[in-house]
Amino acid sequence: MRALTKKLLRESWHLRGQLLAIVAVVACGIANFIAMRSVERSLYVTRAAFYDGSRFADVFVNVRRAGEHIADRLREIDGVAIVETRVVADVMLDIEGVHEPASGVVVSIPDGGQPELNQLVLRNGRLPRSESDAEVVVSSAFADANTFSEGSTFYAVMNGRRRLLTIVGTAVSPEYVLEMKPGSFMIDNKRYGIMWMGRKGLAAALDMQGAFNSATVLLQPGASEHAVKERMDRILEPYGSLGTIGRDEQLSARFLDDEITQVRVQATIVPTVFLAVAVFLLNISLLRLVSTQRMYIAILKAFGYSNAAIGLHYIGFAIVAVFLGTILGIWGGREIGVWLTQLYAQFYRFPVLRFEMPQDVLVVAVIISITAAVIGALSAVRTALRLPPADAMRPESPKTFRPGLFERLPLLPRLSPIGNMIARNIERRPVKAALSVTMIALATAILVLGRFLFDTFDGLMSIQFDKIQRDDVALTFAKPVSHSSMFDLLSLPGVTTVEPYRMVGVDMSAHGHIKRTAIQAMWSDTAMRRIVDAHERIARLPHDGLLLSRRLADALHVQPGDLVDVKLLEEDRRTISLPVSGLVDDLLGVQAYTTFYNLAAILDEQGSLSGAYLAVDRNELAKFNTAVKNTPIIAGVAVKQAAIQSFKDNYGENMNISSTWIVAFAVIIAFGVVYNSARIALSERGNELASLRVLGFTNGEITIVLLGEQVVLTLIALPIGMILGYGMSSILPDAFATDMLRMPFVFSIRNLGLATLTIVSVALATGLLVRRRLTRLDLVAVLKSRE
Amino acid sequence: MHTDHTRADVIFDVRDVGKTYTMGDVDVVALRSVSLTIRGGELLVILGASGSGKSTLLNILGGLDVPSTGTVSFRGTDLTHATDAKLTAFRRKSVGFVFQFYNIIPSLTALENVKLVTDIADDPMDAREALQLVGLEDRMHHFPSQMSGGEQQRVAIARAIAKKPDVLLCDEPTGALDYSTGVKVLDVIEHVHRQLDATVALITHNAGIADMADRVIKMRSGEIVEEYTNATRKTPAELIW
Repeated sequence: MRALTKKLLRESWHLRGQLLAIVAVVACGIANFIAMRSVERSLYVTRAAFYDGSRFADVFVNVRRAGEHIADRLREIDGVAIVETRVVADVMLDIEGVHEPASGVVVSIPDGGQPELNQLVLRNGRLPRSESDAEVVVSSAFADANTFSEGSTFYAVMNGRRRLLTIVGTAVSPEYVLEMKPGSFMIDNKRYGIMWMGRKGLAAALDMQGAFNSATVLLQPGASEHAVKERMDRILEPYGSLGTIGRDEQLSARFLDDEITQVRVQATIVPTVFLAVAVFLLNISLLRLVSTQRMYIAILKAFGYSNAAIGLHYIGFAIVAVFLGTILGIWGGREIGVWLTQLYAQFYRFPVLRFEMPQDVLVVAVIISITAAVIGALSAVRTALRLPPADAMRPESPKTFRPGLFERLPLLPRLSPIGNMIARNIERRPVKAALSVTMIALATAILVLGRFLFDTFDGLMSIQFDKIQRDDVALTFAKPVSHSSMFDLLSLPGVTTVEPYRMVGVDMSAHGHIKRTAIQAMWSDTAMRRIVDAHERIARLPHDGLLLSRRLADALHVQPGDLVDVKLLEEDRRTISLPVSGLVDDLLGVQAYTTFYNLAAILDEQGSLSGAYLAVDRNELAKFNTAVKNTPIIAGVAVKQAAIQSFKDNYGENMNISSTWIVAFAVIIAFGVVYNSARIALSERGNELASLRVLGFTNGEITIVLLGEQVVLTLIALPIGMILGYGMSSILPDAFATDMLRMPFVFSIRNLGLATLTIVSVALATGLLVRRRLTRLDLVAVLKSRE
Repeated sequence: MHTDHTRADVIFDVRDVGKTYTMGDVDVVALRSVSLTIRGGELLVILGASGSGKSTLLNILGGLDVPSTGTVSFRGTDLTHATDAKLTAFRRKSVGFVFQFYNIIPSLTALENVKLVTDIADDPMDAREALQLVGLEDRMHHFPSQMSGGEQQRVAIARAIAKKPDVLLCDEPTGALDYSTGVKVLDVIEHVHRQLDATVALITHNAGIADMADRVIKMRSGEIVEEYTNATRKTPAELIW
């Protein structure tokens, strides 16, 4: 081994503390990069293969009922490759072992085989026999959550009749990669599932023989989706069409797409933060190394070592740290990637979702690492190369100091000599100090942002379940029922209060903008479902006109006082003009609200209801559930307690793991910055500190001198980090707002307190780690050397 | 003032002190068996080549190190078995150090370097007064990088005496200085010695400097090989080396 290489390895060992801190930061960056990029790629590639292989449709539409011959008209549209009709129904389920009524969707598949579009991939079992109205294939997520196997049975209420269904297989479908109940914001595979049944059997059960109520379309390559949808809408309008949607609006596809985009963004931002910190740490550590090795550099130059050799030697230190960090990061990235993939596979159902580390991702990771090493080493190498040999032989001239800004400002208290030492050392290297502050602030901001996400989710839960959803159970009827049904509901066991609601689908338009939405009508003094905005204020329902979600009003460019055209998507499909009387920053969905009686008047009804909100005596809940499961007219049930429990089951643990990660990442950054800065300070000021010890200063007193700078920088960084974290937090709800869900802005002092506590603890612990070295200062040796 | 040292108090009592360092795999004997007493108010020069053990002896006197064998006491208090905290307190209260490389803090001005010590001393002199004593009243607000080596060493001396120490220990104080600057620094030490009636132990490899001492101890290979008292002391200006 060449002598210079030996020097590199031995001194790397000597510098192991500092290098390890850098290794940890690099490892975090690379692990995140590898995991996120690989998972993103897995999702992307798996999705593409799944969509292609199982012929995922491009356009979807639901109608009330259309004769099968209408499909031929759809097939004639330019650009349409395949049209497949089917029968689809929302059903209530009664599953043994699940107390609350569950719900789901039954989708028909052609008799005797796979559909042409949205083909199923059987996980096990077989497809249902063609004429059976009792055999179903169920989605694998639903089956797993309920531990169903072939032969398992459950009840479904279809078209008012309760039927026993037998599971003959489980499958995944490109249409339901993610199974989420429309209108919900949580996944609950136990209480919501997809079933596939033979067309004949299902059509018979639903009285849909010779007709369809759902169609899916595959486009020819290059066809205009927009044009096809427009034509389809025109053809299907008389048949109660709810409007065509493309993949971009299809629930599962959209969620998956959003997820992939999000992972891709994270795969860029998170590693960038870590590698920036690593570059900074390499920079300050190597600059210090070069400064302590002036003499050796001079000797090497005197011996005739080339600039290139010396430069490479110092880059070598960066490479050592980055190399180890990359190895560790690749290993960690694989672990995180496997975990993440398992997590995704739990919610996103593909035929196969495996973690794979693409080679090019690995290559890019290595290139990024090497680049970071070179950038980090650059200024140190430049300093080493610029050193004229003769100069380098002499010890470094005393560092130049001048009175600091702090001392020149009038009115500020004069500092003690130790205070001056700290202040002047900071002011002497303003860029380094600023970067240290930036990095610690960044760690603080990451903590604040991480906590914010959880507080926000908690906030959303608390707004949803404490403020808005005050009912115990929300029922949906298969179709609107008469007002008198309220009394039937009151007679269900345990029901103490009933509040009806009416929901009607509409196309709302104004100023040339159109939006498909719904008008939801409740009692004007509703106690069960209050309308609560992001600031937890309760909005009052207007006596006439509509209260619009602000997001809906923005989309339509309307303000209170304006008129909107409302086309009813039920029955007579009239278009009427209604005034906008108010806006609300609500959190879930985009819709219009009005009073129950107002909507009844608009619809010219005697107060029919789409569903009802119930208060149910907890002790009677079991009886209530049984009764509801046997009430055919009910198409959907949402039980609040079950929703809360499902949230805890599905998200609780994952959120804890993510939360631990975020804290760990921030801690590693803070540790890396404080540790390396303190070690460098110790190296730079070892002589001063030993001199002070000789003069009779205690270890405690010189600790202040050593760590004072880190304390000051940390104290400066904390408020900056908080402001940064607050700023990033305040952007987030808007950035992630969708028609489906807006996050409230929940920012607590506790969040700032926790971030402060974490950073201060890390800084203290790190400081104490470095402080141990003070007891090992060689007082005698220090006095015998110049530096 | 320095005529009758025999009747003055014994400040240091060193008995059979030996010191062995373990450096890597070898033991290095720095002191073999040294005994001496230092009395209040005397100016002692310890003379020896490098490796003679003089610095080790000074470090033990100053509480920077403890002997491997033998005992050392300061005003009757045992330093041999003192804890780190006791030694720190001893240095803080009783010892003034002057080193070859000054060891002053670059980020502090001359005045602040002195204040650093007066801030933690029990009954210090005014920091300005200490700087006046070494002739640096005009350079008080200068940083080390703005001062010559001689001036920096005088700051170190001012810093050492400002706490009014019982003993001033100087380790090669002129070692890094040219002749004329060295003379100036010795002049300051001599001046302080007379003005404050301070006990001074000065180590040097430079035989010429021995002539300014009351008493001279010569060391070689960790032992005292010769000890004598100067009948008359030369002033630093008269010294030749």
